[in-house]
Amino acid sequence: MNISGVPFKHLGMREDLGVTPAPELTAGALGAVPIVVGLWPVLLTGIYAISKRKERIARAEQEQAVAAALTQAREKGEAKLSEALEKAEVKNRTAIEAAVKKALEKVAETQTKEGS
Amino acid sequence: MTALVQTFLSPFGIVAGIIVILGLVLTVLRFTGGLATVTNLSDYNAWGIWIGFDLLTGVALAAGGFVTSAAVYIFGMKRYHFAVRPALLTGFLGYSLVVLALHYDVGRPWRLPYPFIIRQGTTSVLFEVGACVALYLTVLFVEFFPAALEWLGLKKVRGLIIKLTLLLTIFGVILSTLHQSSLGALFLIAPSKLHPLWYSSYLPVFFFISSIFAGFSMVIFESTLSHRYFAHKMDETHLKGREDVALGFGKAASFVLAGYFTIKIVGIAAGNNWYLLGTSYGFWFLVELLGFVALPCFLYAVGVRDRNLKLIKWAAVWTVLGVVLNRLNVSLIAFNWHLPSADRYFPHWMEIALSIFIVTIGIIAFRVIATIMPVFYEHSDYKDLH
Repeated sequence: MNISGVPFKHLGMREDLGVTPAPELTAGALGAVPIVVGLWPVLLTGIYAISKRKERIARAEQEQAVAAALTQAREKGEAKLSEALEKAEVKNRTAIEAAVKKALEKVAETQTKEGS
Repeated sequence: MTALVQTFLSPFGIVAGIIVILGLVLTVLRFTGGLATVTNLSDYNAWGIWIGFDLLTGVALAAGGFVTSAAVYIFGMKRYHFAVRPALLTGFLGYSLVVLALHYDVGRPWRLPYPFIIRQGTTSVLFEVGACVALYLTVLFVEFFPAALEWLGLKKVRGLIIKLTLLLTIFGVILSTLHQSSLGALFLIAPSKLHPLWYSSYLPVFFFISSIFAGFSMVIFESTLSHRYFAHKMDETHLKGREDVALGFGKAASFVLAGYFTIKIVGIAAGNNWYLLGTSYGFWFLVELLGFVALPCFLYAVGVRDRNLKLIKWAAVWTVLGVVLNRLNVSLIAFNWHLPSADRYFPHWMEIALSIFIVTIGIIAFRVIATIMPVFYEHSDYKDLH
């Protein structure tokens, strides 16, 4: 502390320093420390949980999409297969019928030949 | 052996060697002759570049560790996972050098542990900074430790530490928030010494927010340098991911810079300091705000939009320089601005040489560790174990 009979300005000392006690200037910043220590873990764990959840949902959705695509593909394949089978059956049947018809015709022909 | 000799005889080896020898000589001078022998510090200027550059800038630029690990482990941006280790190494070395530099700067460095053991000063911002830096250095050490354990082949301990990853990351973000901001809070006590344009009750917030884009920019800058000098050490993921990191972190940095620019304007408005912008200090303030905050914000945005890696790289360098400038402005250039020029501080050449010495030690340590430990590649025994 300085005590002087003449104004401080004449002694080359500053007079614009104010009257705020020094600890008051930093008290606010230091007061924020416990708040940060208390809240940051909650906030950060929350962000972590959100990103984790997003990841989990994305993975589940992906799995679901893959499963759906697989089922769809399987169904499509099965439909195609049965269609092909049916077609093949029809084709076979026609072929058999044609062969039977042919054989019958042959038999009828031989019979007519033998008869005459 | 020949490789070792070759390293020493390379241009880098020779320059680094000279700096280290000079640094060691100056170290002897500092600890035998005291601060007055090697510095221009005085009662008016108790803090010089060892605080303004080595400590304030060092801590801000070492923020890459916490922003990258937070992005990957908390925000779930797993595609940047490969960038975590180099960032943690830069962070750990940065903080180690900050502590080393502090040993040169404080009058009686052997008393550094006193506040923890003898008497706490919980009402002092400096105590908080000290406690956080000490704790965070420990956290960074543990976070980076798995790389050393992989190198040593200690699987069990490594597995144990990997389990702590999330906890350590959260702890790291808390500690970084606290001490990055309280480095700004240190100056709250000196409204009569710091120029009103830089003095603001928001100083802690300014320091914290600027450390975030400093961290992003340092990761981009460090990755550019590493790709030039360590490409042979990198695995596929690392070589391919470079563009991803530059684009992602560049975008983030642009956003944070824009936010920072806004709160700096709010700072001028809160102090109603508009009239000071016309003075010479006001001009210098605008150079910092427009040239080193608004400009890189814009450059980053354009670079990301055009996927221009070169522009992003230069924006990162410019942002890093801007952070250096800001810390020097607050701690030295705009500090004690009312003093006559004869009483103003300018660093002694030995202070500058010792700062260069400390940065050089960091570069050498980075080279050694990145060469022997799995930093730029995944160790073959631990693939996909992260």
